[in-house]
Amino acid sequence: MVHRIQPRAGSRSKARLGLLATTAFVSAVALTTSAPAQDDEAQYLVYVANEYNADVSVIDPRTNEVVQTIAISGRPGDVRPRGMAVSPDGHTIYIAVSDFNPEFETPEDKIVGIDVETNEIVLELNAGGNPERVALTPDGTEIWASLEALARGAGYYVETGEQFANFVVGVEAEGVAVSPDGRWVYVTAEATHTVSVYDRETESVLTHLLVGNRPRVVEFSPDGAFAYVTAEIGGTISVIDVSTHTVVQTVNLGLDSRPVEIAVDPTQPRIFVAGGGTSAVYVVDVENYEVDTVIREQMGRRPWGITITGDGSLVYTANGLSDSVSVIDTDCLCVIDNIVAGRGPHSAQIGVVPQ
Amino acid sequence: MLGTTLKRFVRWQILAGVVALGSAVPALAQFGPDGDVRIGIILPSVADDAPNWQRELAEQVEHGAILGAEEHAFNAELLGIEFDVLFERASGPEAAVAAAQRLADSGVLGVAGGYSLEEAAALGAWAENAGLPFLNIGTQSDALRNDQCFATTFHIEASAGMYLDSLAGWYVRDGFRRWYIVRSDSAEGEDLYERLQWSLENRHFGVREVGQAVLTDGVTAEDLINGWEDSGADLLVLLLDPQEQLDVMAGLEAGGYTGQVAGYPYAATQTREYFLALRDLAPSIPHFRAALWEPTIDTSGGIEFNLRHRNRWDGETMDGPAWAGFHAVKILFDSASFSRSVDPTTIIEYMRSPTSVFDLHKLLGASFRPWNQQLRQPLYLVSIDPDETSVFRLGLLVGQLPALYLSGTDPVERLDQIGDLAGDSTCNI
Repeated sequence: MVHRIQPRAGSRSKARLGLLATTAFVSAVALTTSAPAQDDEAQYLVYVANEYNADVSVIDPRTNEVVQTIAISGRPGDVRPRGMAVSPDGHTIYIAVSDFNPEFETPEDKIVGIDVETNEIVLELNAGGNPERVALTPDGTEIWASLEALARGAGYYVETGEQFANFVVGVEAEGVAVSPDGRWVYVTAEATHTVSVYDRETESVLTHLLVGNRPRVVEFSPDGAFAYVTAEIGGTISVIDVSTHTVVQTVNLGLDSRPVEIAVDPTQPRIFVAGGGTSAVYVVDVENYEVDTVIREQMGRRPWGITITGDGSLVYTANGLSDSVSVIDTDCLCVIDNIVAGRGPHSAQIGVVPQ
Repeated sequence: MLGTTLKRFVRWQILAGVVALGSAVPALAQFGPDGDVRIGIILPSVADDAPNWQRELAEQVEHGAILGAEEHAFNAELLGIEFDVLFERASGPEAAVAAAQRLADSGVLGVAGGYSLEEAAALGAWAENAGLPFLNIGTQSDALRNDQCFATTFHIEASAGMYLDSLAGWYVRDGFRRWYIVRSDSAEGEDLYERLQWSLENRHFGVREVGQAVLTDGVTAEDLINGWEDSGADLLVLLLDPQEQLDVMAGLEAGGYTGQVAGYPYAATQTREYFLALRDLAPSIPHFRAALWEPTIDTSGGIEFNLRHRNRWDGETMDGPAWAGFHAVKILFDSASFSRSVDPTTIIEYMRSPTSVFDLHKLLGASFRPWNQQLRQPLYLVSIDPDETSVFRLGLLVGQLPALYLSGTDPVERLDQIGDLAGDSTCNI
């Protein structure tokens, strides 16, 4: 353990708000978590999906300790919570849960919603086909999921759980993201090396485009102009111009970089990339498309998931092989703490505690 | 010639039944090679009365290649690429070359096959002359990677040297240091024996060869047991062909042998069918087998990949030969799509490039070694469960070499720890 810190006040909130003002939908997560921390009450909580424990660890960032563990399934190992998303107001955490035992009679492929205020499961919708990751529309009314076993993307109404969209994507669908203006849903496919572009306006797939080898995760820039796609085997980040849906830049992190999840800094033009198998986090300047820093010291093993606070001050990584969460200070770009989590942390998200 | 383009009868059973791409045809297709991506696969031709292990090998290659064809037909349709996989069946070098020529006449950009040294060498020579890439998916012989190498041959199957180095690594690490080595009475048996000796002399110094035998006519399992006991060996190494291994294992069981045995992992010995036969013939002997792939691998998309194969083929596991068949299609398709070309010369250049990596579901991006065009990849050690009734769970993954789960080192350095390296190769491409 390095040392413990309190979440910092939102010193960068002005710059961040300037960025967000250009988008059609403003993320309440960013607004809320940038507020100064109170001594007596957590402003936000960090949620970690533990793939092999079938549960979710809840971390209080004031103490960097797990304060609660939420069971997702009674069949750990077979049923795996993986990708996560957060509602625009930050009050609900969504988790994609995949059932890996195809012989089981009542498969638990589902999307689960956890209320940040109570840490209770408040939503459980059936999403057959091994949902791997999820994303929310900017208005928070729709969940979009990648269905890995079916090579499909799908949309669900949050309120009713009804699946209202289902479309073809590549094999081993994984990453999913909704553009900040709500128009586009991007879905990656690991085995096909593609990103599929779904148009919510026309309710159809616009195109499938080739990116790097084994694309994992896609995230949009705060202004929605670009999308960033990690390619685990290729060791690259493809930068897609959203206005044309074409790859305009490829950032090479190296063949052994194994990039997976991305956290987009809301305050600066940079992204934090979890370097899965390399036990590193890559800080990439997305103005110049260069690797700025590689954080290795004190990093947990196999950081797969990564998330950033709304004020951009802290980054949390879900470390699958060391069963831990690393905390990175984005000023020093160094690890300042490591927190014991459950078995096989896959993803992390920040939930905003209603005040 | 099987003749039919597989595309006509593709059944994408995994993906919710039917490929329904109506709404998914690329409206802004930004990519498409110049022309059809057409791939040729030569499957083994097996006689009706061939032993089970031989027929299983043929079926595995066929099923893996068909799954590869179906998945990439799906991928091609997403990307707006015209795609076909053409299949031929052949046995022996002349028939294989004739089949390859028919495929070339049909416009394939590359051919995969080769299930013996003679067959693979003939196809390698033919492909070099034709200017097409040939992907060897069934022959392990080191000769093909050295004196008999060809400029346009790429080896997906691991080399004998890679398997032998891995076996040495595993057994030495586990404390087996006194080896009694039995080899076939054949040129291939001699080659394997010499390569294993090289490995012990140059890489795995902890082992002593304490005895050896050649399986000539008249040599019995009892002779081998006596030789093993007299030498004080702790490991019996069988550099024997698949049928010889089964026969010897049955004899060892009958003779009361219960020590460790390391059998050379020919492709045909890597199937669940073969594992079952071994276990049934020699239930008292512990079984560990080396393999190109293991159906219970669950990393880097392996769990989903294995599951797709089992779903497609009614529960049949994806064993090493099926993995090789699948990846022959994948490597040629990916080479075409990433190089944006169907020109065989461009495809060959792409495959040779040190910056080209292929996703094999083996955790790291793999490339071909420039000195002999052998695919860099890890191999697996599998323990056969003596009591398991499920065919899927019959094998338990217990080892991987090189060990890729160690992070933070260069992947090429990690993978270049087994097989003939640049300084040892006599291949002159």
